[in-house]
Amino acid sequence: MPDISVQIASLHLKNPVIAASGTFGYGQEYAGLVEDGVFGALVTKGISLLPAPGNPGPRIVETPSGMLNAIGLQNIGLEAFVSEKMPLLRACMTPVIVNFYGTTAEQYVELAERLSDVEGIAALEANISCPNIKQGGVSFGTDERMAAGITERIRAATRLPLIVKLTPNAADIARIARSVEQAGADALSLINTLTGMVIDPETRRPLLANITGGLSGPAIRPIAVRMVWQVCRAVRIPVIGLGGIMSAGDALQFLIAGACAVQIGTGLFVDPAIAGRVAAGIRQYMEAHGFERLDQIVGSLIV
Amino acid sequence: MTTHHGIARIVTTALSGTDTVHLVLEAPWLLQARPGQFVMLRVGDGTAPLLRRPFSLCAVTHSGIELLVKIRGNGTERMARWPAGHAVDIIGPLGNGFQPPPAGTASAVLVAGGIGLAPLVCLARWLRDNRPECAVRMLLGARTGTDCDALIPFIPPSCALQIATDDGSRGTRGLVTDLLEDAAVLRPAPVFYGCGPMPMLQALANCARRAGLPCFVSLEAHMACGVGACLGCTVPAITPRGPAQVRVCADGPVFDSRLIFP
Ligand SMILES: Cc1cc2nc3c(=O)[nH]c(=O)nc-3n(C[C@H](O)[C@H](O)[C@H](O)COP(=O)(O)OP(=O)(O)OC[C@H]3O[C@@H](n4cnc5c(N)ncnc54)[C@H](O)[C@@H]3O)c2cc1C
Ligand SMILES: Cc1cc2nc3c(=O)[nH]c(=O)nc-3n(C[C@H](O)[C@H](O)[C@H](O)COP(=O)(O)O)c2cc1C
Ligand code: FES
Repeated sequence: MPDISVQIASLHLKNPVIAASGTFGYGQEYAGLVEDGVFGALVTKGISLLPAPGNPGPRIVETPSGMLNAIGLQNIGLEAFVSEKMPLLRACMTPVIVNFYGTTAEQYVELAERLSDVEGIAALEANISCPNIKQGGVSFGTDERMAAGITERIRAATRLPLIVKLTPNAADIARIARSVEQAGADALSLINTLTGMVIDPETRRPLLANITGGLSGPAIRPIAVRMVWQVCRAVRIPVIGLGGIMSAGDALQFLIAGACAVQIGTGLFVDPAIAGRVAAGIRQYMEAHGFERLDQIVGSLIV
Repeated sequence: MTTHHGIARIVTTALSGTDTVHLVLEAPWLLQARPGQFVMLRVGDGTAPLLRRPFSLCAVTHSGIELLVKIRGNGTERMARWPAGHAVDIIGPLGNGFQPPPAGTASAVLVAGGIGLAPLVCLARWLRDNRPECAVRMLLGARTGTDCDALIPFIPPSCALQIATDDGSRGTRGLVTDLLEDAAVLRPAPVFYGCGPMPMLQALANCARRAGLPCFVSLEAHMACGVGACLGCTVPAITPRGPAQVRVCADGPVFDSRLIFP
């Protein structure tokens, strides 16, 4: 049987399919629907130092082959996460990657420090798509210098494997990726959602209370594949690809473009059985094409 | 009872009136579902429509479930054309469901706004079978007589039915919550259950508060996961821990009206 395990820094994944942040809650919500262990790893909902109430509703709206969300990063905050959710997460077989965010560099650093002391976390994923309130609300992830600066400081604050999650709302994502690599990230994940908007012509109002939201699902997949391909050519560190994966064929596109693993978000809402289906599909593909290890596919794009 | 992901089969699909569809499905794992719980179903295999659609259980029978669906957009239009035998990918049961009134409760008043009737039909049937001592009154509000006529066949005859329509073509003219003004509705002191548009539920909650009577409302929100993971379906509430966003799918869809309309 082909080997589909992956090593990303000290993080070992049985298979390359990871549950994406914000779509798998704190790992317990899908109990009974998603068997523990079918995902290679899970990423928890992005946490901040203090609990965040999130945006008013409506928070989601369906779009052609996709959805917009404006959850507003609602989460229970670091303390409740560590005391209430981590004990349950520690009991899972699935490696736990903790996604976190701040609105100042100091918050990212404090989160990284405090999470490093918590038992049972396999890796950290820094969501740098958030606005930096000290820099007029420009997203950390859209400015090369800010992205590098924040990565360097988080790197110094933790010994856990550090994945930096990139936003596609940047002018040149490959440049951001390179500067984040130089600043010491162990791996990159991309893409986060693309900013979008839907208007109801009858009422002339936006359908989201927040006006704009983040687009995810199959609608963004070709953009995500292109960005993963560009980033993989620009960096040497492992890249985790995501955006609109619904099938093994979709996941394979990301692997062939150069990603060593994938995450699935919106696809999980549609089919909670997606992880097993995609992992099995990747194995079948490898058997059919005579591949024995995943790294024979990764970056195997023929042009 | 635990949530499962499975394939149900359409037994019958029947149009009632112009835009209401009654679906009977064979779904062996849903037989223990409670009134007020819902399912998330996939409308097709493709990516448009992408997200699952949430529907309340309108009945739980010996072999499966029934849904009462108002045709609104692309998804529900397709559902109206599902032939017998059609395989439907369903997750359920989901949500908390209605808390049944304590045994010995003398009266329950169910207030439905349009298609909000669906979960209340399920509750009315449950009360008929499990609380024979409880007198059940169903107050149904609809825009027109046509809308009303499409819904009435599903209301168990065990309920005392009162109707209000916007155009006055059936029952009294006006809002369904106007029917609450009738003093007879409050005797003997009932438990209130409501499902329908937010302004209707607000008026119901106000009435219950004034009368000092318990009231439970079933809410709707756009949903992605249906299981409490995405935080897409929240509504503001006053919880015992203070103001918070609660998830309609996992914390509800049924809430004590005082949490939602303080
Ligand atoms: C807990 C719950 C129980 C429900 N029970 C019933 C029921 O018993 N009978 C019934 O007819 N309807 C019910 N609804 C509403 C039903 O889910 C929507 O009418 C349906 O999703 C519309 O799909 P569409 O593709 O036809 O419409 P579209 O407008 O094309 O849908 C576009 C998107 O918006 C969402 N959406 C649109 N209207 C609603 C709505 N009112 N509530 C939630 N999501 C919506 C859809 O799910 C979809 O993602 C319920 C909703 C919830 C949350
Ligand atoms: C409802 C929802 C909530 C999300 N929350 C987060 C979050 O808290 N942190 C984060 O880094 N990404 C978050 N994301 C982005 C996803 O992790 C992912 O990057 C994006 O949805 C694209 O992948 P997909 O098309 O497979 O969903 C969220 C996405 C959705 C749909
Ligand atoms: S629909 Fe995802 S939390 Fe309710």
